[in-house]
Amino acid sequence: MQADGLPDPFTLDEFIARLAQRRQRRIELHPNDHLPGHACGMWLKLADVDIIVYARTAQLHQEHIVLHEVGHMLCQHRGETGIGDELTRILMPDLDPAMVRSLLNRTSYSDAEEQEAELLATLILERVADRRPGVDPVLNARLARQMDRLKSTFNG
Amino acid sequence: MATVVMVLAGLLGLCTCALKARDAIRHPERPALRALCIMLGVFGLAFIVTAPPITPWLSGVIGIPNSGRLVGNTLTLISAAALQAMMLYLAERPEDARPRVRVRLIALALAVTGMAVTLLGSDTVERNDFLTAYADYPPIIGYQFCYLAFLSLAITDLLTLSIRYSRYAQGALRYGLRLVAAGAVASVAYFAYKLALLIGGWTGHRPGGDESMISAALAGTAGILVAVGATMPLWGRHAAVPWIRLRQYVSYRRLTPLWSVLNAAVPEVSLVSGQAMAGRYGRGEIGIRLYRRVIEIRDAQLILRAHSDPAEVQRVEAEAAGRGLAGDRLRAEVDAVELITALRVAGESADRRGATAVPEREETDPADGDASLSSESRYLEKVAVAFRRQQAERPSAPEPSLS
Repeated sequence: MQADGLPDPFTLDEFIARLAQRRQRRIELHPNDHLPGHACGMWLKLADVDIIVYARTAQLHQEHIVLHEVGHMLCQHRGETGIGDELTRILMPDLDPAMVRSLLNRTSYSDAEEQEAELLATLILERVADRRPGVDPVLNARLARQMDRLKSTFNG
Repeated sequence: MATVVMVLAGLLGLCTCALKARDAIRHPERPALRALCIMLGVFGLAFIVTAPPITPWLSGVIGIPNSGRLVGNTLTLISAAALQAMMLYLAERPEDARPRVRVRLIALALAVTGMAVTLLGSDTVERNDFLTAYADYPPIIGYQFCYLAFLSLAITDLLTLSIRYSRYAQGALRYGLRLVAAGAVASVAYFAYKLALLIGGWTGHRPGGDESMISAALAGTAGILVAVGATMPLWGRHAAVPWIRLRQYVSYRRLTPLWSVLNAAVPEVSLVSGQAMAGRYGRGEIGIRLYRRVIEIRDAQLILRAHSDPAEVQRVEAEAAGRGLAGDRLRAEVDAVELITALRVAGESADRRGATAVPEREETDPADGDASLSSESRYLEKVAVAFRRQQAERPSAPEPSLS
């Protein structure tokens, strides 16, 4: 894993945008209330877009769930078709399950692919643990531009 | 001592210039970065040249009395001009800043020309108490006027930059800018001392002490503070690593009891693949160990939440709010009681996956934290404390035995 490819400071949006650009496929994130007994994260691979559905929980946990699904993408796990149609209907009512080319869930780490995806999410987010953006005060546009220039000058 | 401070400040300036040079070359579209790099490098040279034993040596090499001082002061002003250019490039877009930078460079050329004309046209000898000795000598008054007038512009800019922007900056950049501000204050003291020497020459009330030593100490202190502050964003993160690792270890230890209880109840959330994930991490991998603790606690919480007792959760929440708890502390109490009641209910039920809906209750305020590991682990430490205390207050609660 190349640390240089990770945004610094790290934000999930920036990471997903870079990944989508590299894969030349749209990636959509859909937060959802967690359904007990079901997966807390799911990757749906459609013809022209990847959809990641994740449970609403603590922010770091949410990002971990999303990156777990990203781990499946990066490791090129194939997933399955025809499973989870009911869950897909519940979580994505506007989506025809027949459109889904493959689907992967984050439940437990009982098989090698789940462990691999989980490990990748762990390594990425632990690596950027101290590279989070601070809570920037609200700045007017002019001052915000000045601060951007200041950061790029002093942070190198 | 003053020489040591000056040379140290000079070397620091040169080293920090070298640190920044790579980025300045790599990013020609950032003129402020280039100006900062020039400022630090020339600043370093100026300190070395104006160190007490080096100035007369340089004058000897050139063969003109006090020419070493002229070279040192010129370098100081070039560094000051680079600082002003950086300020302008920070405040404005490059195309807007460029004409204003040109005006400053013209002012620099005039100041240096004025200094050269007055000094080379004067009749002076090389001495350490230069200003004290020649404070009432018109050519040297002119020389000092040119030097201090231009320097005062740069000091004003330095103070403005560091104080204004440090209010909005975060982390190492904020601390770095505060150090730069301290350096600017030392520069003001240097400027004030030089002015006092000059005025003292006219009024006869000269400040005491060794001029050379005091000037060198003030200028050297300013230089060290500015150089260290300007580069803190580069090295501050690495310098903080030991403290971060120690804090992660403390957090890891504090979360272990809660994690153990949850892991016993919901073992499927543990990542057991490979040596690293089996818990046999090296001491240097405390970051990953803590990260897994946090994620596995949150995973268990997500699974168990469906089994919590809404009435009990509401009662504890109201009681905690009544005790004046709010924000993260209130949320931690709620998370703790959710876990305790869920573990009790789930422990009594063989089929803990039978539930189909999360118990409905009014959500507490959203957490104030962010997605950083430190924020999240510190929050979970609060949950662990509340969990232990609430468990102690419920001696009759059965031990969870879900696996």
